[in-house]
Amino acid sequence: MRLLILLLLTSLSAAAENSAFARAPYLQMANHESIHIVWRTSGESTPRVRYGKSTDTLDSEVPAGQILTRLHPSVEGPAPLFKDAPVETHQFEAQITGLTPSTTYYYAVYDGETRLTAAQESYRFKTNPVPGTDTPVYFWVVGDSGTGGKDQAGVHTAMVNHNATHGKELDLYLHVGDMAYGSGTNEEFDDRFFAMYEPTIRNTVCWASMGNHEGRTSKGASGEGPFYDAYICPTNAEAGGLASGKEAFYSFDYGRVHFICLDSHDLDRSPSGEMAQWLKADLEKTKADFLVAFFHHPPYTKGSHDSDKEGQLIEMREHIMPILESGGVDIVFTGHSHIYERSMLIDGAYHTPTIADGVILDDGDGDPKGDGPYRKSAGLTPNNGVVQVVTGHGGTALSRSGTSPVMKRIILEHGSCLISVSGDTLTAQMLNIDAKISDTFAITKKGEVKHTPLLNPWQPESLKTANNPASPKKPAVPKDSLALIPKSAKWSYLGGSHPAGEPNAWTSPNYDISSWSTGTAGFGFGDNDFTLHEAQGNFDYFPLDAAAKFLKTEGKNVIAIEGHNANLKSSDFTLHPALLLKK
Amino acid sequence: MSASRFFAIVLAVLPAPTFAHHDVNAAIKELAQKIAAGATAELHYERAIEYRALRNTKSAEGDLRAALALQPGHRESLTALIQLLRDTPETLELAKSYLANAQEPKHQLEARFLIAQVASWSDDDDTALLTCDEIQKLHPDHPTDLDLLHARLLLQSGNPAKAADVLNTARQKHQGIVLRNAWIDASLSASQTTEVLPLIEQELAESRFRASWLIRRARASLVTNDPDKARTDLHAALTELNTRIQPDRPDLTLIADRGLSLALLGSKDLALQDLTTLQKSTLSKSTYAILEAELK
Repeated sequence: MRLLILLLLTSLSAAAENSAFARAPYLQMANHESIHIVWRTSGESTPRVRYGKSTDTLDSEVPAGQILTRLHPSVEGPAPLFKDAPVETHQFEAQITGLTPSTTYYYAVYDGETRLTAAQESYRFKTNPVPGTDTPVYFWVVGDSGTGGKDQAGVHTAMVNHNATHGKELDLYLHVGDMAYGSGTNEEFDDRFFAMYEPTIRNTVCWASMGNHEGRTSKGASGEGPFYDAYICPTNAEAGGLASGKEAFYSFDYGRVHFICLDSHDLDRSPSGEMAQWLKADLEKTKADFLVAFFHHPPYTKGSHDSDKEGQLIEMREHIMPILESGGVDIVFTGHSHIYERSMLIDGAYHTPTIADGVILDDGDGDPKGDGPYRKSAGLTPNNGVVQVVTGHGGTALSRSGTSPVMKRIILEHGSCLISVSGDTLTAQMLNIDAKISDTFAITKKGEVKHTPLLNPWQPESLKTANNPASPKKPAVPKDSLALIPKSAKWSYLGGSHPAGEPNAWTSPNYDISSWSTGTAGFGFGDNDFTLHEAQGNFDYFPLDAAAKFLKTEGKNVIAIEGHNANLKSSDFTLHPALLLKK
Repeated sequence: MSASRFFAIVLAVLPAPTFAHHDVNAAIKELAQKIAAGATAELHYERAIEYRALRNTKSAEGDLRAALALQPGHRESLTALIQLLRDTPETLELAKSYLANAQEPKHQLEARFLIAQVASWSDDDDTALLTCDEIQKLHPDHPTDLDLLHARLLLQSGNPAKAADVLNTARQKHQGIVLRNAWIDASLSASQTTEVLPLIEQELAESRFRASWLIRRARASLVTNDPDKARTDLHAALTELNTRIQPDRPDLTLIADRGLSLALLGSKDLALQDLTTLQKSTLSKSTYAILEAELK
């Protein structure tokens, strides 16, 4: 009972602090020398914003001409708000210019001489670094959060606590849509986005893509509706990238990272459409080292939505992903499907239904403490692999309908994603509602990396198997088979170090293996358990049906196998291959 | 304060239950129950959108027609039905009836835009062009999509100079790069190079991938009778495109670029192979219109 009372008082205290506002101040479109501060009052106000480099010295003021006042459409004024805002609403959009890059400023909002915001450090902003400069970036990605309920609040609190514990501050925040259920109305935005995230968005710019629920009231083609009232998005390359002319899709730069936001909901998703044409041109122009795309509808999912069956998802996969991948995209964040799903490193997975054959470049977990980061060439290289992240687990009810074959992790937990890009590495973590890290992966971009799609990649457990771990699904060894290469055959082998030359050169039939050792299988180290495996029949069977086409009927065939231990501290390792021919 | 009274206050400030559907089939089921309890145009429209998401066009059409039967002026259902039916004989009549009943200027604009789109989908370019002209006069604040459609129709009808004019006017009012690039392409088709060449050179200097700009400069060089320079640029474009085209599952917009490079180099057979690939794909004609024109 005491706990409940305490919570109520805290809530009332926060409300009192912002009682002057219909929508408390929040940051919007920023670059290295300017930023916007937006707020709403119920009724008239004389808007003023003061700012400076310390909380005690707010020695600059935004000129009145740089504060736009927007009113209800029934009231005469510039840039009218959508009709569902209360008639007395005044929205103020103050643009601060002439700022120093990578610098923290503090601000206060006034009504005339009356200070409306508390004198707190949390009313601050940090300008972006100059585009192209080698500056780390740390950002938060959330999707499908807008219920206004305890799970949404829990996900937000987990992020705040995690950052406080680890001494981290967000540089920016991406929202992949569905931030105001059920129809993205003005009131739903107030309750389920602005009130919920107020402590974060007062000092962190949220860059948003529109979800289908906001799409019930807001329209991408016209840029009208509560969504477009809430956000100031670039239309004229104000924050980098190319001018889109529409707030529905845009790009911006932060240091060496280029961010691309698309509208997967209500605009033409075909390659001839305006959005795809802009995307192609934008990708041609950017010279960033990392490329992050975000939009609402996931190209790959078997969560609460199915990317093999739903039109918008299929079109984003078949039409937009080829353009993004030929432009060198590194990571794609989406939502819509109420689940966390994260892919392996993939390329060219455009088939419907999605299949794993020939599209998985690295089937490891990408975890620096596990299989190691996914490797890519330095800079932006076409078709060098992308990781897809469905982060639709930001607050609404979760569900899973199946298994996408390109996914490495499928997790039914509420949470969000925290991403850092530093030096040549992007590191992503899924932080769950209990503030625990449920998944980590990284992409390291160094030198030149050439990938060959895996013929028989690792596959995630089917939903049925995942729900019943007692019966793992393994392909059965064919009973009637001929051993082309029997067990205990003689092999050339190399242990404990990487082959010389280019990363994948050793898989070529002509690769010089004269310096390798020769020996009888099995290979490995540790507890000499080959005999035990033999006795138990404890072998994994990997069908190589797709490889048959590569076999030469004349001359020499070479089979090359690479084995990895699950972790560096393992006590043993066994690799004892045989090649069977099905009769 | 008694415990029961306290809880009553807490519950009163909690948000109302939220509707966030968790899968499309569940949403359809829920809407079916609501429709059974009392059908409205809005409910039928909402279910049609869910059916459309599943690509179940027949059921979507059924719901949109049901919505219009209940409320003939239900604008969302009418526009959704027109976009769903696209080039069937009925759609042009539906769009015209929408225009006849539209009162507000923004709805009249939407109706005229639909007429132009439907006519172009049905290859009735004359009607589409007339309607675009009408929109340019009656609705100067139209969306840029209309200018892009208008220009495409003008290019198809062999009037690139007017297409360039339309796009040039539009790009003075709107900031999007797509309009500007379309204007550059239309200008080149109209053999106008003076204004666009400096922009092409600037893009070549600033771009990471240069193929599309090398092709544009080659088109300009061909206009100014410098075939050697054009050839050099086209070979450079092909070299870059070959590093970007994934052989098994290519980005088809790059196939369009490669086809155009080959066509301009005179490799008509290879260009035709690329055109055939594009024609067999789901891409709309406008993606490869310049290539198609070059091979005529």
